[in-house]
Amino acid sequence: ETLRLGSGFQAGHSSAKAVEEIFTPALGKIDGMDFKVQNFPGLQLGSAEEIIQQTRDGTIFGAYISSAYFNSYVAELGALNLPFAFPSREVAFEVLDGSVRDLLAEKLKAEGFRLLGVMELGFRHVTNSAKPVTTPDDLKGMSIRLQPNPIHMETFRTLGANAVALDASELFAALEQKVVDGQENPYAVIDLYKIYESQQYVTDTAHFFDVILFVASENVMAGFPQEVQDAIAAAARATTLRQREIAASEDGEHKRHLAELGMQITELTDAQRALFREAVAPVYQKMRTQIGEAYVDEFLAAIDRASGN
Amino acid sequence: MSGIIIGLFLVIAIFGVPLAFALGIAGFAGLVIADLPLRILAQRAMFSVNSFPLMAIPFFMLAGELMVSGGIIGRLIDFANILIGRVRGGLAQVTVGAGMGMASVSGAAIADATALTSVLYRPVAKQYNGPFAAAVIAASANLGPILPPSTAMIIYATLAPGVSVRSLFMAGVIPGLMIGVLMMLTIAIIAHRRGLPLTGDRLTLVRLVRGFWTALPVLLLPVIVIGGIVGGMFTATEGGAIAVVYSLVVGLFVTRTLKLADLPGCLLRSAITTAIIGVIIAFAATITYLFTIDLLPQRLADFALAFTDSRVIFLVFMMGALMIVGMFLEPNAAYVMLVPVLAPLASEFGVDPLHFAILFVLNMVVGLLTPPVGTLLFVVSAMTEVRIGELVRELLPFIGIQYGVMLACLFLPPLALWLPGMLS
Amino acid sequence: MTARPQALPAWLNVLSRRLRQANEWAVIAMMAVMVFVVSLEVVMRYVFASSLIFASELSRLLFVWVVFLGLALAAASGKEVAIRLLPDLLKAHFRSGLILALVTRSAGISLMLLLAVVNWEFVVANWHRPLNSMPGNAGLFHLPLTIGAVLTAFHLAVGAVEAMLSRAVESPAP
Ligand code: NA
Ligand code: NA
Repeated sequence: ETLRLGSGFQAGHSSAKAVEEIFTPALGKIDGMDFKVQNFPGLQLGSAEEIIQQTRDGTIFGAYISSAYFNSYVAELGALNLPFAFPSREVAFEVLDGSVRDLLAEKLKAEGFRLLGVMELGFRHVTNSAKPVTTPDDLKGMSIRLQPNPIHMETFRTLGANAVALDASELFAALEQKVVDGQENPYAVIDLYKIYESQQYVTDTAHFFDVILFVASENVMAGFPQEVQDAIAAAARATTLRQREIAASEDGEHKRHLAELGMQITELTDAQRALFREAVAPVYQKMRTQIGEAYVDEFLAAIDRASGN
Repeated sequence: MSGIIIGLFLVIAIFGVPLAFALGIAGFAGLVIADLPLRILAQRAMFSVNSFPLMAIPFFMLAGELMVSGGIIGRLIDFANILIGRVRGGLAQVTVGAGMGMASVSGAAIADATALTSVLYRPVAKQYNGPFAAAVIAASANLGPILPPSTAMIIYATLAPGVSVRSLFMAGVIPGLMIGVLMMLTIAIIAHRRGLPLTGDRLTLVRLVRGFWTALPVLLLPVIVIGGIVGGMFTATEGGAIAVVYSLVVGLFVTRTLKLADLPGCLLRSAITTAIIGVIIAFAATITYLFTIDLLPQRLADFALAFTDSRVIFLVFMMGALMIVGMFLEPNAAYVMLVPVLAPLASEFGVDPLHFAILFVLNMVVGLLTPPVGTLLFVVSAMTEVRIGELVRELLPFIGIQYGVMLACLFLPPLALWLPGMLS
Repeated sequence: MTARPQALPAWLNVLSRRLRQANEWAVIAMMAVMVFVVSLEVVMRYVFASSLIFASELSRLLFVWVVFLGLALAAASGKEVAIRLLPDLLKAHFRSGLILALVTRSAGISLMLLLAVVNWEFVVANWHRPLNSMPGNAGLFHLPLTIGAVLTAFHLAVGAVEAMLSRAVESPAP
């Protein structure tokens, strides 16, 4: 039995590394069946949206893709896009491995996905080619490229920026040509995709914490004996934990590397970050009306509990 | 499996089944062989054309249609004719010049080909002959991804850590200029041999000034589109839409030869040509998917490693293999499949990553012109109604030049690496 | 937009022409909106310091429709790109030329009908899923392939009937 995994992340990304390191060798002979994992990172099997569809159909076994691409299947995932929701990666994973997980797993299952694990994509930070950004005011009138995601767009509009929705395929050329002043991404992306070549300033805003969903096709999984399902789930769990470890250490490495390359990194003080957080309050209200007050409040309460407040 | 699919496609295509359908049928057969659901063909078809950069195709095509219908392109040709009509094959030389100009604005050969064809094919074909005109246009359009900016290079650099977009752009400048100059020389020789007709009157200052003034609104188009893209007003795809709006305004209000009644026809023609290209991309996507699932790139790499550990032999072997890949695969598919496998492999053999990158890109770019699967061949043939066989025959010297420059860069790395080294 | 030979039964001729005209106007309108939306996005950015969040998604959606509806128009006018070597060699022999034309057309028709059917699953499976940046559902991206494939099969079939009735293989496409 060949288990094919698809992803949009490149072979060097922490997610692909962890899959190769843990998941691929972990599955051999289980319950008399021979398993072989084939990993296809770097959009080899199509766009992120298409890979998700292939997983849902059972054309491939599974995928590890940014959670944002699942929003249209499970609206509640939108809460993960709320700005400044998570104070730290530790809190984020305590929440995502805890009470929130069961609800999401159930909703994903109804859409044809078995949730295997939640990996770290990372905190996103704002970069630009004009000036250091320390307050929301600095973003006023600055054009920032965002993913065409309504919550992301709304957040930056609320902060006063000129939010520009550009397709990912146009991002690098657009930065090079200065079609936009800035963009926002995790340190790993800023480094690996050489965004530092056109952007001099980065602010440690950590405004969104993005995660990767590691999912399998529910149809394919349900077709395996329980023993096999358990073995796959265990291997996936180990892979997820390893990925978080690599991602956390690489995040720091990429940040250091960017500083070495001459990017000016602005760290926000607690007071400065609080200004940003207050400014985006209207976005929370909007999210409540969009995906349900009860769910959003429960989600935020879980974050508060995990943060020990 | 990959071999069976390729063979099947060729057989079906030779029976005269339209290429898009031949790709689709071979794709279906491959899915059956691989024991995969048939609906993948439908899925891949939709997602592969669901792409923002591809929209540069209808935009630049429509801009060209508007320029032709608006009669404004005639002014550009008249002006070029005044300038070098007294040189044998002058209009073909204009085409190469226009191709280099387009290349400095656009990053994609297909967009350049559609723009150049819609603007230049009719006049050039009228003066000389159809297949020759189509070949010069196709070969000139191929400079698009070699001279910066280049979509292909951006794709390559994002797939290969250790290669920067800017250096790769710079690495393309000298090879691109070499190809342009060699093409002009070749055209001069062909023009002399065939005794191509002179197309212009004697150059006088009055004619020059009058021609320039008449052509000014058209000459401003590249200035606005190039300026807008280079100056950061808009992206290359958006530049296509801007070119449409500009041609529309000039045609309706400046030259006043374009009528509102012409618009539906222009929109329709560009839509149908877009569809013919789009559907080929759509159905090729399943075949690429099957190659990927079949681990074709990895198997090629293993094959290479079993043979040699010499850097030069490896490079020569790689270029040979990539020439064959370029004949059969659509370049974007080849980048996505092969770069992650072959770039690290090249580093293992001690090849400079930037050197390997430029050779890889040049190879794929020439592949756009080589049968049986050459996207530029399909595009230019569809737009000009010149048969692919005739087109390829006239293209041979230009394909030779482009492969020649690629080989020169292989054995003389400074041709590609000197400029990026200077500027970093 | 070209006149068809009179060999076809009148009703089929009318149906074919009507379908083609509707298709033509749909494609023309979609192309126009694509250009408008993408240009407007540029204008919005500079004149109003704003951005149309739906510009990319809407224009891509229209592009997918243009490609698959345009395929039907290309098939109706015999404009697909093909290697004409063998068909041209057989042109002199009416019978074998006709047989080859019918075989290649049947291959195209079968491909299109099969596609239309397998694609329908995607239309249904995505009809409940919202789009990212505008009203509508993700099934709208999949729908044009089925519609375009059915229309293409229809035009290919009409062309085949025409070829048999007019006792002449249709004029060769380039
Ligand atoms: Na270029
Ligand atoms: Na080729």
